[in-house]
Amino acid sequence: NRSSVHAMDTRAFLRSGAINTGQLYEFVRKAFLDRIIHAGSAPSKALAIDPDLTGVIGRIAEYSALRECGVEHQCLFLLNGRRIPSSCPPNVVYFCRPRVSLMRMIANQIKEHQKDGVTKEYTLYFIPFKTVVCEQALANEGVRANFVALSECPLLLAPLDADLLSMSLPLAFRECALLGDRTAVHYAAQALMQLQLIYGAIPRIVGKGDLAKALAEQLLRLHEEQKTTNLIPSEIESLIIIDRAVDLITPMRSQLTYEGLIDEIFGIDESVPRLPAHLKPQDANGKPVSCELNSNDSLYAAIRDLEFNSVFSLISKAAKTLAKEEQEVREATTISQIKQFTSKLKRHQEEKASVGLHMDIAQELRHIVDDEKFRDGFEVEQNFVCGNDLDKVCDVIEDAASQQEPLIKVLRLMCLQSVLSSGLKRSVLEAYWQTIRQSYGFQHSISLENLLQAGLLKSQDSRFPYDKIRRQFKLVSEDVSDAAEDILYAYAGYAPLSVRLCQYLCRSDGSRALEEALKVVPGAFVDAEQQLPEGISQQIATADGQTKQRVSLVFFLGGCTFAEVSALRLLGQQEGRSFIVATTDLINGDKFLASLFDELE
Amino acid sequence: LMLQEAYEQEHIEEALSCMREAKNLFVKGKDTGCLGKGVDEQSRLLGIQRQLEQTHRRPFLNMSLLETMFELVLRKDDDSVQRLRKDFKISDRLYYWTKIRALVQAKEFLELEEF
Repeated sequence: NRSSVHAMDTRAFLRSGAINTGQLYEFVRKAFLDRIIHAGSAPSKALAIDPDLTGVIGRIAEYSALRECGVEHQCLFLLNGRRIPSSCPPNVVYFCRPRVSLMRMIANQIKEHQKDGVTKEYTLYFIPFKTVVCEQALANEGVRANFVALSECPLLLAPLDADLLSMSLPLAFRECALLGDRTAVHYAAQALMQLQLIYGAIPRIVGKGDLAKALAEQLLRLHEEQKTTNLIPSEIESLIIIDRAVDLITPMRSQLTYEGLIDEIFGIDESVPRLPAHLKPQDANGKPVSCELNSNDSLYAAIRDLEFNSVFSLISKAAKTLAKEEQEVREATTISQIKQFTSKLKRHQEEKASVGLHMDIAQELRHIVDDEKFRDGFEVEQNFVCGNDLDKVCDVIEDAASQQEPLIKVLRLMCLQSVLSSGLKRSVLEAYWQTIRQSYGFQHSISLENLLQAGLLKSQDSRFPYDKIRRQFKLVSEDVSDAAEDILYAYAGYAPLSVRLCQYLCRSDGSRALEEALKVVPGAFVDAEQQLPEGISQQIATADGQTKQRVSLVFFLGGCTFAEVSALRLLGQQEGRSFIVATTDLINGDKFLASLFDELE
Repeated sequence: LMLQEAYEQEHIEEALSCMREAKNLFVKGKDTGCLGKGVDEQSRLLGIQRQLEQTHRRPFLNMSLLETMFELVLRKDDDSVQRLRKDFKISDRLYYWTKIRALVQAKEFLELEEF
């Protein structure tokens, strides 16, 4: 198949990691494309997809591949309430999340076609799984019989980068923490089973947090059921599960790595940054070209994890190298020298574009970071994580609220204060609440109530022994010099608790001292072994003899930030192992809080 | 709790057009603590906003308290501002920031200096 070869070329960087995530990419891509090919009987197709899935689908299948599977030109629709013209091809394929509102939308589209007197073949694939509720909804609308097939497409985890996998479930934390809905845990377990099918069973599972425990238990059960079928040697040594609820501090902080900062300021959707128009890269005709941020871009790979301030020197160094190359060519005299350069020309141009892009982005970020408001917010954060002024109404927060700065910024600081101080004092909480209500309006009440319920805001009651945790896990350092060598750098002097936990968990050998340390943080702790089929355990033993890198998979249940990923990359270098990060979604504080909101109309 | 909230939400939406019906709900809302207080405050605010709409012939409904004050400072209705400040126990910080910002917008620099 030509298209899949081509796709692998552009995704070649996926192969460079500690495990070949390109394999997973091929797996989900094939699963998805095969379903389009086999849908219905007519070869000419229209495709309609859930808007929430555009990111994932765009990532695994480019437009030309869809064309090859029979999707007609201009027959790719989004399920956004608009109708699909009756003139579209006779074979309509839907891909959507199992949500009732979408079912109604689809039913309406089918009814409109009936009104126009056209009959079509409809196929519906649920991603990742079919639910009874949805099927019933279609039956209630009276269109259940119109489908030639109602099926599922278990698209769970897809790689964003060589060491980063995402499930693209932005609401996972909300569902678990607010609605008590553990669907995400179930999906995560299935996703991990899928991974084990490709990369072999994972012998060791450790985790922290109640949901981590639930996930580990489900996984062990599924593994027990399917044990004999999987005979692939293990490429991943251990699985570390982190329940987001264990570390609510980190997402509330501002990320200060280059990649993290881009996400905080502009936002990154499925590795595509939402850049303001004047920063968007353009082609020769001035038309904006799409840009993806991943390790395919060697300059970006070098600077993404760095603390923002040290990014500039690397970019200018790259610029100088390129300028020197150009200089050499101008002075080149022999044909072989020129030939040599022409062979590198494409790469040279790509690098030049990359240097230009990152120079622009970094300068724009510089303006924002140097702004007084950003500085103030950051200082408050830093003050809080050092354990200061946690029991008072914070002036900066009140001022910000009084000036109607973005609500979410105010709430982030409030939540940070609340989480760190194991709940705000009643009077402080009431004062904040009143200010928010008076400044931003009553319609935010339910959102605030949700934050209370999710444990992000609370009045003093429960125990979150932050002081002890901070000392135990060395979360804060004022000394910037040793910050550079430690994961402290990711938030300029604060080490994400989640990553510190990973550090302890991957060292965990069942010794008492480590377990005591882990007990300081509230939430269940799991440590389990998965039995491997006999032939397999031996293969591991022999692989150990060689100097093979040890690979750990870190799974974030409820999302992780880019800075956490960066910190894990550094931790991997220190510990002499590779971390692969899998997450329900990539988050930042804004996205995370917004996912918990409910506005009144 | 979620159900109760949803229930209240529905009624509060109606309340925006029909004040009286909402008033019956404050009693119910009271036992949810902060939220109850909020409902009470909101209903009073809506009442005042309705009055203001009549005196100023401008839409005030659905603005937050701060936005209402802001608008009133712009319109130099100082009596109403002071009344709001007292009625809702607005913190000094919120009050002064709002006043300053409104005066700046109105370019009332003379008054700003006096202030």
